[in-house]
Amino acid sequence: MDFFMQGLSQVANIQTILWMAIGSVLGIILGALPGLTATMGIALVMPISFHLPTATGMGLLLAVYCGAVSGASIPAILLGIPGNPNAIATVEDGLKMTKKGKAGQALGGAVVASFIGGIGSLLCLVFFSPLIAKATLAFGPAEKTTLALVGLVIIASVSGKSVLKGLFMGALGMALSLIGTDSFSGALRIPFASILGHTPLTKGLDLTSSLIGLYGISQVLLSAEHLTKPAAEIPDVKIDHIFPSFRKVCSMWKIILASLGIGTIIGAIPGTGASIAVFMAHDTARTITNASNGKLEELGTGCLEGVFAPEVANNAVTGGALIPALSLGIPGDSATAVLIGALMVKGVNPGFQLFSQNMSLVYAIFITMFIANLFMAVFQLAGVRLYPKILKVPEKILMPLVLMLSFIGAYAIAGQATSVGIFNMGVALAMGILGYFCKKNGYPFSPLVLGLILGSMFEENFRRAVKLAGGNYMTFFTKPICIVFIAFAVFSVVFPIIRSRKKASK
Amino acid sequence: MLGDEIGGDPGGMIIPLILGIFMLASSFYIFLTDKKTQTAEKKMDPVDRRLFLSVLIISILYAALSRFLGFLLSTSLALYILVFINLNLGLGKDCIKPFFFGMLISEAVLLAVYTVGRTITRSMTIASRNGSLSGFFASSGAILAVTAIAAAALVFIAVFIARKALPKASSSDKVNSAFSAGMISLISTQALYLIFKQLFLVNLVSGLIGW
Repeated sequence: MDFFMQGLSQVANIQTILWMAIGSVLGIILGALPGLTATMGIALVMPISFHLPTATGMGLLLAVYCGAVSGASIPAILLGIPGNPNAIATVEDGLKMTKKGKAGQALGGAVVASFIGGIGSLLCLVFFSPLIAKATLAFGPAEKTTLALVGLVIIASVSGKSVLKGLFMGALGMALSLIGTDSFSGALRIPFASILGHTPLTKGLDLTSSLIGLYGISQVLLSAEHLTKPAAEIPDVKIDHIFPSFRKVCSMWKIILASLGIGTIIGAIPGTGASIAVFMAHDTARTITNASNGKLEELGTGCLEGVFAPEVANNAVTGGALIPALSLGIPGDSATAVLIGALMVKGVNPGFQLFSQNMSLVYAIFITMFIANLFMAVFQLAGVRLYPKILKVPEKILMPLVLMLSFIGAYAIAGQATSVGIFNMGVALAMGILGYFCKKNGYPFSPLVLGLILGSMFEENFRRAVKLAGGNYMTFFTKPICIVFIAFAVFSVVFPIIRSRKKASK
Repeated sequence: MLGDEIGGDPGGMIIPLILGIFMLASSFYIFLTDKKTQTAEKKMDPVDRRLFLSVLIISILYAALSRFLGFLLSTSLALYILVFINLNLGLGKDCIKPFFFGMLISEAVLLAVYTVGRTITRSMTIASRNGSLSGFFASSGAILAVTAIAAAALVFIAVFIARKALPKASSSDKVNSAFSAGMISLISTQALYLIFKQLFLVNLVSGLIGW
C-alpha cells in the first residue's frame, strides 16, 4: 500500500495530468490520421518525455499509445481506411454503420469498447506482471542471455513474411547497438575509428534518435512517394446517438470477454501485436453471434458487435503488451519496444530489478495507464464530432511537420550539448533512410528495434555467463531454463519455415 | 579485445563477429533467392520521384546546415520549402516569384516575432532577478506564458494583414500556397521554439541570429 501511495504521489500533480491530457488528444489525432502509427507517435513524443519526471514522461507516452490505438477507429468507421493496422477489422462493420446513418453510434461504441479493452487488460497487467517478474529471480546471466535471444527470435520470425529477413534485421539491430565502447574493456568498437572515434559515436548510437528516424523520418520519405495521389474524400456525416444502450453492451458480454482475452494474450506474446488480435477477435465474435440464435446481430451487416470485438481487442493489446515488457524487458509489440527504450533512456531497466527496487514507479505506470484509458475515452467522446474534421488535414502539410518534429526531437535529447544534438539529427536521418529502404524491400522493423534495445543486454549477460563458466560456451546447454528458451527459439524459427514450405507445396 | 585467457571472458569481438558472419551469409542467401521482388518493383512516377528527392535533399541540408543557420532560420526555411513544394507538387517556373516573395515575408515576420518575444523574455528575466517582478510573474512559467501570448498575438496580426492584402495582390493557387506555407512555417517554428527552448531549456543553436 505504501508503494501504491508513493506511485500515486508521483502521478497526482497538475503537470502529469496536463501532459497526459495533451498526450491523449495528440494520440487520438495521430491515430486518426492514416499513415501515422501509435509507435511513430510515441517515438515523436519521446524527446518531450525525456525532459519530464519519469512517471510523468511514461504517463505522456502511455496516453499517446492508448489514444493512438483507439483513434485509428475514426477513419476506419468514417472512410473505411484504418488510421493504422490496429483498426483493420473495424472497417467492415464500421463503414456499413456509417452508410446506414449510424456513424455516431459506431464512433461512440468504438470508444466504449476501447475503454473496456484498455481497463480489462490493465487489470491483467497489474495481476500478472509482478508474478512474472518474481519468476525471473531464478534467472542468472545465462538465462537472461537466452531470454533476450528468444524474444528477438520470436519477433524476427513472426513480424515479416520472411523469417530470414526478420533474423537479419534482428542481427543488424544488435550489431548497431554494439557500436561505441566495449563496456567490459573500455576499448573502442567503431568502424573507421580514426575518424569516427572523435565523434559522439564513441558512446554508441543514440537509441531515441534511432527510433525517431526509423519511425518518423522513414514514414515521411515513404509518404513523399505518393503525394500526387488524391486524398480520400471526407463525407459529411451526421453524428448523433453516440452512446450505445447499456442493454446492448450487456448483451455482447461474451464478445467483450472473448475479445478481451484474445487481445491481452496476443498482446503478451512478443512480436504479434494488435493487427493479429483484431482479426482473431472478429472471427470469434462471428462464431458467437452465429450461435446466439438471433439475439445478436450478424457480423458484416453493419452492426455494433462488429465494431466492439476488434476495438476491445486492440486496446486490450496495450495492457497485454506491457506484461512481458515490464516484467521481462521483452516488448509485446513495436510500440512497447519504444516505451521500453524511453524507460532505458531514463536509466530504468525493466525486469525484476524494476519491481524490486522501484515498485513505486511500477504503481505509477499502472495508475497512468488507467488515467490514459480514462482520458482516451473522455477526450474521444468529447471530440467525436471534431476529430473527423482533422482527417481533412492533408499529408502534404502533415509530413513536413513530422519531419521537423523528428529532427528537433532527436536534437533535443542532447539538451545543452549542441554538437551531440546535431550528431543525433544525423543519426536520425541515417536511420530514417535505412528504415525507408527496409520498408520498401519488405524487411521488418520490429526485430531491428528489439535488437537495438536488447543488444547490449544480450552481450553483457553472454560474456558474464561464459566468464562465470570459466570460458565454457556449453554453459547455455546445461541449465534447464536456458534449454527451454533455446528450444523455444529454435521452434519459432523452424515452425514458420515448415508451415510456409507446406503451403508452397499445396 | 580477444578476451582474457584466465578469466574466461570471450572478449568484445565475439558477438560482433558472430553477427557479422550471420548477416553476411543471410544477405548472400537473400540476394540469391529474393530476385522476384526486385524485378516486380514498380517504377516511381517522375513527379513523385522529384518530391521524394526534394524531401531527402532538404533533410540532408537541414541536418548539415542547421548549426550554421541556426534553429529558427533552418527550421522555418525547411518547413516553408517542403510545404510549398508539396502543395504545388514541385517548383515550376511560374512558382518562382510567389515562392521567393512568400519566403522573404515569412522569414521577416518570423524574425520580428522572435525579436519581440526574446526582448520580452530577457526583460522579464532581468526584472525578476532585480526583484522588480515578484511572485507568480517572476516564475519561468509566467515568462513563457507572456512570451507565448505576445508571439501568438503578433502572428495573428501578421496573418490578419496578409489575409487582407492577399486578394488585392493575387488570388492564384501559387500565392495561396505561398501564404499557407509561410503561415505553417511561422507558427510551427515559433511553437517548437517555445516548447523546446523556453519550456525544456534545450540549447537550440542560434546560428546567424545572434541576438
